[in-house]
Amino acid sequence: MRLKVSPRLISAIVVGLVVLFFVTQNWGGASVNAKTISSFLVVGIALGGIYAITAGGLVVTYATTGIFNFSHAAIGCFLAFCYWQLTVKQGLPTLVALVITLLVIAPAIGFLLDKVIMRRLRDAALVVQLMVTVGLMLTFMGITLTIWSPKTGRTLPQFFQDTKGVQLGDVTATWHRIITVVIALLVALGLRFLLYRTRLGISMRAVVDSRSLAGLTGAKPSIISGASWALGCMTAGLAGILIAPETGLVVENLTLIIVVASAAAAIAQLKSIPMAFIGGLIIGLSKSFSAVYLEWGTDWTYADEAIPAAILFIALLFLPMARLETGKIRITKRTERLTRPWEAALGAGVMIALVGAWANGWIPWISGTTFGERSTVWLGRGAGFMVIGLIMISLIPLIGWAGQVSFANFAIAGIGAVLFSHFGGQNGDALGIVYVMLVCAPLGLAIALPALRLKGLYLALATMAFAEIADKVIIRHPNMLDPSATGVLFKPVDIFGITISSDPSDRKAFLMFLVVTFSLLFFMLEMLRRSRWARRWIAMSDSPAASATIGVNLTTTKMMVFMLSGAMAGFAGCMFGLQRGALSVDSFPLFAGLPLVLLLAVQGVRYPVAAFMGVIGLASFPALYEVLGKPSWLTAIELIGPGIAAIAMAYRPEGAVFYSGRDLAGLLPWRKDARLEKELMVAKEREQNIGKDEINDMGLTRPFTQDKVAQLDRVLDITDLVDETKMVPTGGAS
Amino acid sequence: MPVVTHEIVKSVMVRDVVQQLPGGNQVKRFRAGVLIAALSVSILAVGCGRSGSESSESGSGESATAKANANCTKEALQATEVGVTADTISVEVMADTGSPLAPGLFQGNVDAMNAYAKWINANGGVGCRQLKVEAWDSKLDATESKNGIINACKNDLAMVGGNSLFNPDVSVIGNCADKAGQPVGLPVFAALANDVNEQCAANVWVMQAVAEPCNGTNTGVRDLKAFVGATKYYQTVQPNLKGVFLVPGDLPTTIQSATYQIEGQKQAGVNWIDALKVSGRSEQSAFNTYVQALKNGGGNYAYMGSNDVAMTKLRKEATAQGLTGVDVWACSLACYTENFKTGGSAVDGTYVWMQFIPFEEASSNKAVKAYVDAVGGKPDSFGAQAWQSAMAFTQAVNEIVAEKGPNAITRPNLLAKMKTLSFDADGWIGKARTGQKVFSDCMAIMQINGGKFERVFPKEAGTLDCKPENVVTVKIDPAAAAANVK
Amino acid sequence: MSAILSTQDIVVRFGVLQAVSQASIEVVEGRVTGLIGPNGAGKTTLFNVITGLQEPTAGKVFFDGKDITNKNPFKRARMGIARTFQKLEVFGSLSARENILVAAEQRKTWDRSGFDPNQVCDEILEKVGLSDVSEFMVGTLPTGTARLVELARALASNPKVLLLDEPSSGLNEEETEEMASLLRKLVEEGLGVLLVEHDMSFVMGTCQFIHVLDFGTIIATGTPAEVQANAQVQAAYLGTETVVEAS
Repeated sequence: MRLKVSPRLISAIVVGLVVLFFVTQNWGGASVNAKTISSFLVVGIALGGIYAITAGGLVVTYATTGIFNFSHAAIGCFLAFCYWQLTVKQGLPTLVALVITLLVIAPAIGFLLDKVIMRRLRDAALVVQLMVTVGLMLTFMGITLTIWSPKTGRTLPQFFQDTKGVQLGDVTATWHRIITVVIALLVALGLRFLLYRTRLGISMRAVVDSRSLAGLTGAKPSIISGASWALGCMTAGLAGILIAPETGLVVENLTLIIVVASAAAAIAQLKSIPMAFIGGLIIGLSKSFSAVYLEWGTDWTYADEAIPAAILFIALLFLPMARLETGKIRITKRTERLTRPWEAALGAGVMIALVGAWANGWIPWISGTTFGERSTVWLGRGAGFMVIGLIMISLIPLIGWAGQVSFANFAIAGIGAVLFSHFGGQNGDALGIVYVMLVCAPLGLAIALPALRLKGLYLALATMAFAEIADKVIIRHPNMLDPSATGVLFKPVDIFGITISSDPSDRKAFLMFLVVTFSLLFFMLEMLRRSRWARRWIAMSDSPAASATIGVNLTTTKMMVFMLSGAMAGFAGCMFGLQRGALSVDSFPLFAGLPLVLLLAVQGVRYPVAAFMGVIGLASFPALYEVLGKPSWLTAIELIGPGIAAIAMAYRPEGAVFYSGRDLAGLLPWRKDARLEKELMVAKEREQNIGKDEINDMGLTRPFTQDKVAQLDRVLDITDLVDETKMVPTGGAS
Repeated sequence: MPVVTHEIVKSVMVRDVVQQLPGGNQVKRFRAGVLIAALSVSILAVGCGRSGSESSESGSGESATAKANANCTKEALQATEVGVTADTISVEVMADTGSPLAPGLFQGNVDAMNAYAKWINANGGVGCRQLKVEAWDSKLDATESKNGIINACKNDLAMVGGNSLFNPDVSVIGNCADKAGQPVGLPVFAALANDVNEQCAANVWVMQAVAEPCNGTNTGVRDLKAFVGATKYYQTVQPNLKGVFLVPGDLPTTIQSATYQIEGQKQAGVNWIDALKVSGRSEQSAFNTYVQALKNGGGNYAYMGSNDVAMTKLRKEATAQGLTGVDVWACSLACYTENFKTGGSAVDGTYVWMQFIPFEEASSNKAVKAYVDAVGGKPDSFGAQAWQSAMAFTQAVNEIVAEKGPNAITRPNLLAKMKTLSFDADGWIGKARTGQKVFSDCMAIMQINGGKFERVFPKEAGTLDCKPENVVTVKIDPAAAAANVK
Repeated sequence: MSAILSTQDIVVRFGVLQAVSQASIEVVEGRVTGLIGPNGAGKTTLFNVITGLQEPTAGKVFFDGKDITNKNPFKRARMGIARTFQKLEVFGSLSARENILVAAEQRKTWDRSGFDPNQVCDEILEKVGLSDVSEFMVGTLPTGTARLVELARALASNPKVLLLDEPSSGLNEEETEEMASLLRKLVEEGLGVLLVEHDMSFVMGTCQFIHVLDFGTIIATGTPAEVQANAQVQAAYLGTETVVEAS
């Protein structure tokens, strides 16, 4: 017990000192007096109400569905626009519009999401769960932007905006803000009551733990999970409508609140709704404190925007260590075998040949005007696609094998690109690439360190917080990217006798250099997959508990893979810098990194070749535009593409590469094993589809055979119900 | 496919940034549509105190057109240069636009250029030929911007009316090969050149005002121009301006750009309580800080360097907090939008200043009217600037034809011409400007009331107030001065 | 015979629920020790405490004479404790051979005897009879075979004590018999085995010594015959074996 308390205490002291340090270092805003204190409190609580109401919905969705919904705020944004359409545009009375938005449209979206997508995600890998909701977020943004053009100004009035508000010291608290805070509180208490005191709520929470157990309570699991999503969407809509008058009816303002809400949800450990309310308040007050009392110098101009991310990071430090859970593993029935070295070499060769043929204009598509010629513009774009491919392939060992979902690799690549402009790229020194990789490897580790002991979702949130901090604080530091130093930051680099740069004349060589390094990495990863390292990572991902009980040190094992991935991302970053030539401070926002993970996840995170397929996916829309002209429906598809990907992933969680591999590998003459396995799979499926009539009269006219019973057990998963650990109520629910 | 979404996300974010690039000096180099016009080094020499609108003699595009048209039939038309055939001239408009379904920032530039081509072709064309416009989406991306330049170098005579925020690598503009294969460079008639490298590049003619000295040093202490004409007008409303400057804070460059505007206004007599960083993305509650700063400091003046969204939130928060002491709510051209008009009574009384004749007065100037009509009554300041660049390009080409004949349209001739071009956009920008990079000293001030912009200064519709003392030069290191912004 | 593994008054509490209270058991090398009891008696929880997956509220765990109560699971594994799980915890996306190889390679980090992991792997595959399916992904194998993979994986780390959590569940009669004979063979080689099992005939036929756990408390300890005769045990099982088997 002594051990349990002290690390937290130490963390608390360290965090307290660090915060104190920052506060004293940047002290310099208003002086502390009754006026400023009232201003700080009123503003902070008003902001806190906004964050709290979003965070509450996020926590409810997680508690009742087990899915962390990145699209929560985007759905709220969509609903706020719907509400605007009904009130301001159509002139419906407020109450009617509220009822239509919150009690009709929102639940409809919730049920639909559940039916079409979410219920398929219950047993999906974490990366798939997260990426589906990221895809949805982008889709809801796309849909909202499509319906309500951002070029038109829209205003959603505050509730009771013509009234005076309440005077508190020097500040007026408007009724809208008071209502927001009160509703946030009521929602928190109401949801808490709903989840813990009502039959429906208890069933909702039970569904998360075990679908079949919840079934035993008499509720239909499918209805329950639909209700959970409906509830989630209703809270999202309520939040959106209350927040929009504060942030403006602007898509990104309303959507990006998700980052802040995540921090508040982390404070609530993703389960306590009242704590989510308090978390929202903490963040609101911190921002307000910074605005009133702190003065960030030019070195840290954007530090205040990173406050929510920093709080998220801190909150993770205080989470209790994750238990090594047993009985929760998902066994996917995958039939595959290790790629043989010669097959990997062949694959690498094919990639080089494909890209080489394209670069030389021997493949007509994607702006090949004349045979044998490829414009420098498209060579440059091709290099850009390959650079993205390099970032994606850095995620394979990390996410695909070790199961560590990270959103930070794009940010690491960003830091790598910026560092390369100091470590040699500015002089065209290739050795700088090595230095950058040496820095980025431990950097990858440092990001993960606070979250290594936590479960996967928190790690993902930690990497998200890091990506935000990297964008707002690290990359924008003048010593990293000097805002006065504009223009091309990199000189052409000579490497193995090839000159690589963004110059038109170097572009073909650069593209070929990129595809060769990409292929080498591909080959290296395929070989690594055959080694004990990858085996250990995959084992750890498949069952952490079993890995620990065969002597695997989970912490150091995770550290290794983070370092490898960090180094690869650093290399990709150098290439990113060289390919761009110039960098601007906002080149690496968090929300630019998410689609990369999404693209890779759609292809299949486990397979190095998926990164190459991702590159082809990137190039596919330009190709389609070229073949089809520029039809607006294609643009529409492109806009909601992430949503299509998200839905596809719910149905094809292993990624496109796996399914096409499974179906097509048998066509290769030497893959007799694939043909055999396919037969085996078909036979197994036949067993799964045990017919009703086969069971009907069993035991009456026909005897139970041991085999039949075993088969039934397997099919019905009877053993699942007799799980001792399930009998124990989830500890410490608050 | 997610790349598109990334672009959308980025573009909506950057739109915010851009819209807050306000009417400050260098700030103006971001913000389109604004400081058009007049005069380069010879501000003091040309003492123009009144509008040059109707009957300007200098740099009249019309006389050049007439002379050019007379020359068209003198010789058989030839394909004289990349992008020039016997009957067409093609130019590229490069702008950050994005997809048509989620239009980006500068769709206005592309729309204006397409509309201009239609309009000019119906009115005699350019240089005895029809104008063809090729659009290039630079996607808020340095690489795509460079690609756009490469593409124009290969296919078009020049780049006209463009507006790409991230365009730092302009090497191809400098060394682009002409038809003969000589690296003569690519003529660029930019509506807006955000990046200092593009702005100060030798072959670039820029429509909007250039605050930078462009003398080889773009860093450290240097002489930068700032516009204070509007401040002088506000002093007629409230002689002792005391207040808060709200700095667009999303990018370090925007903060730096605000510093010399702050300094310029200070020299003009404004007593600053504070300069505070603001973002249009913040919640309205966060604007309470600024309202308190005005309240506690006894301010009577608030200058919004950011955009219409931020100004609306500030005004609403001020109303909610019962702030009454402010006599002058001023905003840059970034508030001259349709969006701002929907702000309701909360934004009433806000001043907006601009350096061209406002769209509301289309009837007073034929160039304004041509533009407003051509874009279907939906003008925006970015498009206006693109249209003006196109007018300048047309004038330059026509002058070449008038002087050297219709087969003299080459990049070297165009590059030589842009350096001396005297251009007044048929009076739209107040008075003629000479040279590639100038800083206008003209302005009109509008005030919003009941969802409409109304002229307050100068009184007479269709005129601009042009005087040298509207512009001051401040010696400052913006990077260092940025430290004073909270 | 001294115990290589023992627990001393282990208490585990989940909130208000006491899953294990003051359980003390012993495992001796060279024999199979049974741990039986009705559902929810705390058997798996006790296993988790021994292997370090569950921190006990009170009590101590000793292995080889050392107090290992606060040791990490992986350190316990390195000392010589291996286990299988009631609900399969195989590495589903690795082949059967790789499952075992991972453990054998891991053993390299602490066992300096210079063995060849591949060779160890082949021997164990042979021993448990998995050679034929060694290249299949474990996720595609039937439950019974997957249980053998888990057992083989546990053996690959060369343990001194092996904890088996319901090894016969999901196995048919024939497989169960094979499992029993395999256990006998392992014990003859000197391994200590702790076995949780519902199949009473399997338990009675395999174990030399039995602990009976009910509501988290050890209610009986002794040889199979002694335990079977114990009135408390009979009460705990409602006197019927059928109930036990049906679960």
